[in-house]
Amino acid sequence: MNTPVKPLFLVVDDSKTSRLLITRMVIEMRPDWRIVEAASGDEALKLAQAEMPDFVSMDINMPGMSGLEAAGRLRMIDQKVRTVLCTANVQESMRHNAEKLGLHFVAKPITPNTIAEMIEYFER
Amino acid sequence: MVEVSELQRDALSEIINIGVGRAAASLSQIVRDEVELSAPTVLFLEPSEVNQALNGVEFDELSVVSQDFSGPFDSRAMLVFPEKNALVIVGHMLGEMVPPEQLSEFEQEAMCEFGNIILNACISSLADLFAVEFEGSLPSYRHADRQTLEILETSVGDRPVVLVVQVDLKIRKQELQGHLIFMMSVTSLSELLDSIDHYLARQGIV
Repeated sequence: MNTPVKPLFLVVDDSKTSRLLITRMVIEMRPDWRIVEAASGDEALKLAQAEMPDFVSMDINMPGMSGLEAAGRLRMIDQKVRTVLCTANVQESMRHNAEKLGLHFVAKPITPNTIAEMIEYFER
Repeated sequence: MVEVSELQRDALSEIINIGVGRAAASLSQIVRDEVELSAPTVLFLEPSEVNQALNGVEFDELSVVSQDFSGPFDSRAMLVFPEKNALVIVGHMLGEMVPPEQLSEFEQEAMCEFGNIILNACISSLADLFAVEFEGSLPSYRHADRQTLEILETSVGDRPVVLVVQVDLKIRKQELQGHLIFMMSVTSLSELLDSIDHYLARQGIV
Protein backbone atom coordinates (compact mmCIF):
# COMPACT_ATOMS: atom_id res chain seq x y z
CA MET A 1 0.00 0.00 0.00
CA ASN A 2 1.33 3.41 -0.97
CA THR A 3 1.82 6.05 1.73
CA PRO A 4 -0.06 9.22 0.71
CA VAL A 5 2.30 12.02 -0.29
CA LYS A 6 2.31 14.83 2.23
CA PRO A 7 1.21 18.21 0.82
CA LEU A 8 4.02 20.49 -0.32
CA PHE A 9 3.69 24.13 0.74
CA LEU A 10 5.84 26.78 -0.96
CA VAL A 11 6.43 30.11 0.83
CA VAL A 12 7.58 32.89 -1.51
CA ASP A 13 8.65 36.11 0.18
CA ASP A 14 11.78 38.27 -0.02
CA SER A 15 11.44 38.94 3.72
CA LYS A 16 13.20 36.32 5.82
CA THR A 17 11.09 37.43 8.79
CA SER A 18 7.86 36.80 6.91
CA ARG A 19 9.07 33.39 5.70
CA LEU A 20 10.03 32.50 9.27
CA LEU A 21 6.65 33.60 10.68
CA ILE A 22 4.66 31.77 7.99
CA THR A 23 6.63 28.51 8.20
CA ARG A 24 6.64 28.38 12.00
CA MET A 25 2.90 28.97 12.23
CA VAL A 26 2.09 26.49 9.46
CA ILE A 27 4.32 23.85 11.07
CA GLU A 28 2.36 24.34 14.27
CA MET A 29 -1.02 24.02 12.57
CA ARG A 30 -0.12 21.38 9.95
CA PRO A 31 2.92 19.49 11.23
CA ASP A 32 2.70 16.90 8.45
CA TRP A 33 3.09 19.37 5.57
CA ARG A 34 6.39 19.65 3.78
CA ILE A 35 7.55 23.27 3.45
CA VAL A 36 9.98 24.89 1.03
CA GLU A 37 10.94 28.56 0.87
CA ALA A 38 11.84 30.90 -1.99
CA ALA A 39 13.06 34.49 -1.70
CA SER A 40 11.93 35.51 -5.20
CA GLY A 41 9.54 34.60 -8.01
CA ASP A 42 12.40 33.15 -10.07
CA GLU A 43 13.48 30.91 -7.22
CA ALA A 44 9.86 29.80 -6.75
CA LEU A 45 9.60 28.76 -10.41
CA LYS A 46 12.87 26.82 -10.17
CA LEU A 47 11.63 24.99 -7.08
CA ALA A 48 8.30 24.28 -8.81
CA GLN A 49 10.13 22.69 -11.73
CA ALA A 50 11.74 20.22 -9.33
CA GLU A 51 8.42 19.49 -7.60
CA MET A 52 5.16 21.32 -8.09
CA PRO A 53 3.79 22.59 -4.75
CA ASP A 54 0.19 21.95 -3.75
CA PHE A 55 -0.14 25.24 -1.91
CA VAL A 56 1.67 28.57 -2.31
CA SER A 57 1.90 31.68 -0.14
CA MET A 58 3.09 34.46 -2.44
CA ASP A 59 4.27 37.97 -1.57
CA ILE A 60 3.69 40.55 -4.33
CA ASN A 61 6.33 43.23 -3.99
CA MET A 62 9.67 41.44 -4.40
CA PRO A 63 12.91 42.16 -6.26
CA GLY A 64 12.76 40.92 -9.86
CA MET A 65 9.58 39.20 -10.95
CA SER A 66 6.43 40.37 -9.12
CA GLY A 67 4.47 37.88 -7.07
CA LEU A 68 1.46 38.33 -9.38
CA GLU A 69 3.52 37.26 -12.39
CA ALA A 70 5.11 34.35 -10.52
CA ALA A 71 1.65 33.18 -9.36
CA GLY A 72 0.38 33.37 -12.94
CA ARG A 73 3.34 31.33 -14.22
CA LEU A 74 2.86 28.69 -11.54
CA ARG A 75 -0.76 28.32 -12.64
CA MET A 76 0.33 27.91 -16.24
CA ILE A 77 2.47 24.97 -15.13
CA ASP A 78 -0.29 23.44 -13.02
CA GLN A 79 -3.81 24.82 -12.82
CA LYS A 80 -4.51 22.87 -9.63
CA VAL A 81 -2.01 24.83 -7.52
CA ARG A 82 -3.76 26.89 -4.84
CA THR A 83 -2.11 30.24 -4.28
CA VAL A 84 -2.68 32.86 -1.63
CA LEU A 85 -1.30 36.36 -2.11
CA CYS A 86 0.07 37.39 1.27
CA THR A 87 0.93 41.05 1.03
CA ALA A 88 1.15 44.37 2.84
CA ASN A 89 -0.32 46.02 -0.26
CA VAL A 90 -3.91 46.10 0.95
CA GLN A 91 -5.26 48.48 -1.70
CA GLU A 92 -8.72 47.60 -3.05
CA SER A 93 -7.26 47.56 -6.57
CA MET A 94 -4.83 44.82 -5.52
CA ARG A 95 -7.64 42.74 -4.01
CA HIS A 96 -9.56 43.09 -7.29
CA ASN A 97 -6.48 42.09 -9.31
CA ALA A 98 -6.12 39.00 -7.13
CA GLU A 99 -9.80 38.13 -7.55
CA LYS A 100 -9.60 38.54 -11.32
CA LEU A 101 -6.68 36.10 -11.43
CA GLY A 102 -8.56 33.64 -9.21
CA LEU A 103 -6.08 34.07 -6.36
CA HIS A 104 -7.00 34.32 -2.71
CA PHE A 105 -5.81 37.42 -0.85
CA VAL A 106 -4.71 37.72 2.77
CA ALA A 107 -3.36 40.94 4.25
CA LYS A 108 -0.15 41.17 6.25
CA PRO A 109 0.77 41.32 9.10
CA ILE A 110 1.11 37.59 9.46
CA THR A 111 -0.79 36.33 12.48
CA PRO A 112 -2.25 32.95 13.48
CA ASN A 113 -5.55 34.21 12.04
CA THR A 114 -4.07 35.01 8.63
CA ILE A 115 -2.40 31.60 8.54
CA ALA A 116 -5.64 29.88 9.57
CA GLU A 117 -7.45 31.73 6.77
CA MET A 118 -4.76 30.65 4.32
CA ILE A 119 -5.01 27.00 5.38
CA GLU A 120 -8.80 27.12 5.26
CA TYR A 121 -8.57 28.27 1.62
CA PHE A 122 -6.00 25.60 0.74
CA GLU A 123 -8.13 22.83 2.20
CA ARG A 124 -11.48 24.10 0.90
CA MET B 1 5.00 76.66 -1.51
CA VAL B 2 1.67 75.62 -3.04
CA GLU B 3 -1.41 77.16 -1.40
CA VAL B 4 -3.33 74.64 0.67
CA SER B 5 -6.87 75.67 1.61
CA GLU B 6 -8.27 75.02 5.05
CA LEU B 7 -10.78 72.55 3.62
CA GLN B 8 -8.02 70.65 1.76
CA ARG B 9 -5.88 70.55 4.88
CA ASP B 10 -8.80 69.35 6.97
CA ALA B 11 -9.73 66.67 4.43
CA LEU B 12 -6.12 65.51 4.19
CA SER B 13 -5.86 65.28 7.98
CA GLU B 14 -8.99 63.16 8.08
CA ILE B 15 -7.82 60.91 5.24
CA ILE B 16 -4.44 60.47 6.93
CA ASN B 17 -6.23 59.81 10.21
CA ILE B 18 -8.03 56.90 8.53
CA GLY B 19 -4.71 55.67 7.08
CA VAL B 20 -2.98 55.91 10.44
CA GLY B 21 -5.91 54.06 11.99
CA ARG B 22 -5.43 51.25 9.50
CA ALA B 23 -1.69 51.29 10.21
CA ALA B 24 -2.37 51.15 13.97
CA ALA B 25 -4.63 48.13 13.46
CA SER B 26 -1.74 46.42 11.64
CA LEU B 27 0.70 47.50 14.35
CA SER B 28 -1.60 46.13 17.02
CA GLN B 29 -1.58 42.75 15.27
CA ILE B 30 2.23 42.84 14.98
CA VAL B 31 2.89 43.64 18.63
CA ARG B 32 -0.11 41.64 19.86
CA ASP B 33 -1.29 44.41 22.09
CA GLU B 34 -3.66 47.34 22.08
CA VAL B 35 -2.31 50.45 20.37
CA GLU B 36 -3.55 53.86 21.44
CA LEU B 37 -2.84 56.72 19.14
CA SER B 38 -3.21 60.47 19.18
CA ALA B 39 -4.93 62.38 16.40
CA PRO B 40 -2.21 62.96 13.80
CA THR B 41 -0.82 66.44 13.34
CA VAL B 42 -0.25 67.26 9.68
CA LEU B 43 2.38 69.84 8.73
CA PHE B 44 3.53 71.05 5.32
CA LEU B 45 7.18 72.05 5.55
CA GLU B 46 10.17 73.06 3.49
CA PRO B 47 12.99 70.50 3.88
CA SER B 48 15.01 72.97 5.94
CA GLU B 49 12.20 73.11 8.50
CA VAL B 50 12.07 69.37 9.13
CA ASN B 51 14.87 69.19 11.67
CA GLN B 52 13.21 71.91 13.68
CA ALA B 53 9.92 70.00 13.61
CA LEU B 54 11.70 66.90 14.85
CA ASN B 55 13.49 68.89 17.55
CA GLY B 56 10.46 68.51 19.77
CA VAL B 57 10.91 64.77 19.94
CA GLU B 58 12.62 63.26 22.91
CA PHE B 59 15.16 61.15 21.10
CA ASP B 60 18.27 61.63 19.00
CA GLU B 61 19.00 58.27 17.45
CA LEU B 62 16.44 57.38 14.85
CA SER B 63 15.35 54.34 12.92
CA VAL B 64 14.06 55.14 9.45
CA VAL B 65 12.20 52.90 7.03
CA SER B 66 11.52 54.47 3.66
CA GLN B 67 9.64 53.44 0.58
CA ASP B 68 8.83 55.26 -2.68
CA PHE B 69 5.26 55.26 -3.95
CA SER B 70 4.21 56.26 -7.43
CA GLY B 71 0.73 56.84 -8.80
CA PRO B 72 -1.36 59.94 -9.45
CA PHE B 73 1.27 61.65 -7.32
CA ASP B 74 4.67 60.39 -6.24
CA SER B 75 6.00 60.40 -2.71
CA ARG B 76 8.80 59.05 -0.60
CA ALA B 77 7.13 57.75 2.56
CA MET B 78 9.25 57.42 5.69
CA LEU B 79 8.52 55.97 9.07
CA VAL B 80 10.76 57.55 11.70
CA PHE B 81 10.94 56.55 15.35
CA PRO B 82 13.45 56.16 18.18
CA GLU B 83 16.19 53.68 17.40
CA LYS B 84 15.90 52.11 20.84
CA ASN B 85 12.41 50.92 19.91
CA ALA B 86 13.61 48.94 16.90
CA LEU B 87 14.68 45.82 18.76
CA VAL B 88 11.57 46.00 20.93
CA ILE B 89 9.42 45.99 17.80
CA VAL B 90 11.46 43.16 16.25
CA GLY B 91 11.06 41.23 19.52
CA HIS B 92 7.28 41.72 19.40
CA MET B 93 7.17 40.66 15.74
CA LEU B 94 9.10 37.45 16.18
CA GLY B 95 7.96 36.59 19.71
CA GLU B 96 9.56 33.44 21.02
CA MET B 97 10.59 32.23 17.58
CA VAL B 98 13.99 33.88 17.91
CA PRO B 99 16.00 34.07 21.16
CA PRO B 100 16.60 37.66 22.38
CA GLU B 101 20.36 37.46 21.73
CA GLN B 102 19.69 36.77 18.06
CA LEU B 103 17.17 39.57 17.52
CA SER B 104 19.74 42.06 16.24
CA GLU B 105 20.52 39.71 13.33
CA PHE B 106 16.93 40.15 12.18
CA GLU B 107 16.72 43.90 12.81
CA GLN B 108 17.49 45.18 9.30
CA GLU B 109 15.24 42.77 7.56
CA ALA B 110 12.41 42.69 10.10
CA MET B 111 12.26 46.48 10.29
CA CYS B 112 11.96 46.68 6.50
CA GLU B 113 8.98 44.35 6.70
CA PHE B 114 7.54 46.31 9.64
CA GLY B 115 7.81 49.60 7.71
CA ASN B 116 6.44 47.93 4.61
CA ILE B 117 3.27 46.91 6.48
CA ILE B 118 2.76 50.25 8.24
CA LEU B 119 3.50 52.47 5.23
CA ASN B 120 1.38 50.31 2.93
CA ALA B 121 -1.53 50.41 5.38
CA CYS B 122 -1.38 54.19 5.27
CA ILE B 123 -0.89 54.56 1.51
CA SER B 124 -3.60 51.97 0.81
CA SER B 125 -6.14 54.14 2.64
CA LEU B 126 -5.20 57.08 0.45
CA ALA B 127 -5.48 54.89 -2.66
CA ASP B 128 -8.89 53.54 -1.70
CA LEU B 129 -10.36 56.89 -0.67
CA PHE B 130 -9.03 58.60 -3.79
CA ALA B 131 -10.07 55.58 -5.92
CA VAL B 132 -6.60 55.35 -7.44
CA GLU B 133 -3.67 52.95 -7.41
CA PHE B 134 -0.10 53.31 -6.13
CA GLU B 135 2.93 51.18 -6.80
CA GLY B 136 5.45 50.86 -3.99
CA SER B 137 9.19 50.25 -4.19
CA LEU B 138 10.96 47.82 -1.88
CA PRO B 139 11.45 49.29 1.60
CA SER B 140 14.86 50.29 2.94
CA TYR B 141 15.97 50.68 6.54
CA ARG B 142 18.71 52.72 8.15
CA HIS B 143 19.80 54.41 11.34
CA ALA B 144 20.18 58.18 11.46
CA ASP B 145 20.37 60.91 14.02
CA ARG B 146 18.24 64.01 13.98
CA GLN B 147 21.06 66.11 12.58
CA THR B 148 21.95 63.75 9.77
CA LEU B 149 18.49 62.56 8.84
CA GLU B 150 18.81 62.15 5.12
CA ILE B 151 15.57 63.92 4.34
CA LEU B 152 17.49 66.92 3.15
CA GLU B 153 19.86 64.91 0.99
CA THR B 154 17.30 62.96 -1.00
CA SER B 155 15.97 64.27 -4.25
CA VAL B 156 12.34 63.98 -5.27
CA GLY B 157 12.08 67.11 -7.36
CA ASP B 158 13.47 70.57 -7.68
CA ARG B 159 11.87 72.03 -4.61
CA PRO B 160 10.66 69.21 -2.43
CA VAL B 161 7.81 69.68 -0.02
CA VAL B 162 7.72 67.64 3.11
CA LEU B 163 4.47 66.52 4.62
CA VAL B 164 5.12 65.52 8.21
CA VAL B 165 2.51 63.59 10.14
CA GLN B 166 3.24 63.30 13.82
CA VAL B 167 1.50 60.55 15.71
CA ASP B 168 1.95 59.52 19.32
CA LEU B 169 1.51 55.82 19.80
CA LYS B 170 1.15 54.03 23.07
CA ILE B 171 1.43 50.29 23.28
CA ARG B 172 0.31 49.22 26.74
CA LYS B 173 3.74 49.12 28.33
CA GLN B 174 5.77 51.29 25.99
CA GLU B 175 5.34 54.76 24.63
CA LEU B 176 6.52 55.28 21.07
CA GLN B 177 6.57 58.55 19.29
CA GLY B 178 6.59 58.04 15.58
CA HIS B 179 6.56 60.28 12.58
CA LEU B 180 5.28 59.53 9.15
CA ILE B 181 7.03 61.72 6.62
CA PHE B 182 5.96 62.08 3.01
CA MET B 183 8.38 63.88 0.74
CA MET B 184 7.06 65.06 -2.56
CA SER B 185 7.78 67.55 -5.27
CA VAL B 186 5.72 70.70 -5.67
CA THR B 187 4.13 69.09 -8.74
CA SER B 188 3.16 66.02 -6.75
CA LEU B 189 1.75 68.18 -3.97
CA SER B 190 -0.47 69.93 -6.55
CA GLU B 191 -1.58 66.52 -7.80
CA LEU B 192 -2.30 65.42 -4.24
CA LEU B 193 -4.44 68.52 -3.75
CA ASP B 194 -6.27 67.71 -7.01
CA SER B 195 -6.96 64.22 -5.66
CA ILE B 196 -8.34 65.76 -2.47
CA ASP B 197 -10.58 68.09 -4.52
CA HIS B 198 -11.91 65.14 -6.55
CA TYR B 199 -12.52 63.21 -3.35
CA LEU B 200 -14.41 66.14 -1.81
CA ALA B 201 -16.44 66.56 -5.01
CA ARG B 202 -17.37 62.86 -5.00
CA GLN B 203 -18.56 63.25 -1.43
CA GLY B 204 -20.68 66.24 -2.54
CA ILE B 205 -18.73 68.56 -0.24
CA VAL B 206 -17.60 71.03 -2.95
